[in-house]
Amino acid sequence: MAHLPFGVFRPMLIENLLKAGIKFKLYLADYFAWINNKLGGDLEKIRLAGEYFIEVWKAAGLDTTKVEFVWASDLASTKEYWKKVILVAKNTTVNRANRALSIMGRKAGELKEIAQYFYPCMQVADIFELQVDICQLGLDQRRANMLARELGPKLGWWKPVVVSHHMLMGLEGVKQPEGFDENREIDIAISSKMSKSKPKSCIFVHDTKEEIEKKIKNAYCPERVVENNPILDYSKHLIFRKFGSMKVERPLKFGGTIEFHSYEELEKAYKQGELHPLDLKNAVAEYIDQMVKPIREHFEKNAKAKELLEVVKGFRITR
Amino acid sequence: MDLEERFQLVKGVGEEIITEDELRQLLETKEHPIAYDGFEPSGN
Repeated sequence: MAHLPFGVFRPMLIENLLKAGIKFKLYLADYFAWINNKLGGDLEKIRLAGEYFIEVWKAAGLDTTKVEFVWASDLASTKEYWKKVILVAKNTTVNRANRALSIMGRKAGELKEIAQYFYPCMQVADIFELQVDICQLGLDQRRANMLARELGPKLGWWKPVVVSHHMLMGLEGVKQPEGFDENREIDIAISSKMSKSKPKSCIFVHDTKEEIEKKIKNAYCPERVVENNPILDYSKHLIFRKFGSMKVERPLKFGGTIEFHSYEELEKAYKQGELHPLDLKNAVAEYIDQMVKPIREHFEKNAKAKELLEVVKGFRITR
Repeated sequence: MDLEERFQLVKGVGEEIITEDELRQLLETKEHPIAYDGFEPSGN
């Protein structure tokens, strides 16, 4: 099921890019999910999950007339595509492919099937087949994008610009690096991200207000600590990005309602102990609920969406 | 919208940009550059 990074953060970033005149392609990587054994490697289920994804973005208010949806299985239907895949594969060492495994959420030594080696090669070929100028994926996908930058000019194509977005932190805060990247900082960011495969780290777009409040209440958020604090992370990347300011309501005896006009202002107040974690959490829960609400309600009210959600919910999860 | 505004909008989306100079150059030469993001459709 869709979580905050997917249902709220991703559409918000696309909105900014559209404003700048960027043409955005959302790529539904059904073949990639198949290779990566998602949903038991059942392509029919994967296809339905993709339909559900599109429904989430629509509900999130994404202007679907301005973005183009492309399915991997459609892109991969031509001879030219597979020629690109082979060219990439011929110019990529096994060692290099192993290092790119983080893009599929896997670590070195975890590979069991040859098909998994197709994955990075196809992902790089996609970039050129889709005529991409800007790779605008999460920071955890940088390995494939860097490979594309290296191979593009070598193979007579071009060098795409890479604009990697932030990985929203999981509710439990920073985790030990799990070995996704040699760069420790990036490894920690990937290991600590809000991930659907780690439900405890996640707020889902179908969570009720009560569930959101409970999850935020239990989240890692020590007093005065601003480093690796997921609640401040959501404040910065979701609330300030969307609303430009943030209001924290408190009883008068605890200082009364206060409004912050920039994230820096909020961070400073929190660091100095002028803002209690509980007050911050209450405010963040309220804002996140507001952002999730249109999506949650769409899936409650729209019969087609509701049915799709029920179908996807019924799938056995495999990883 | 002028180049600087467009640049700032795209820059604001990125935590890491490789490279800013190339991005600026791209926006200068193309009015509607193509960007993409991909997702594995899965239930979890």
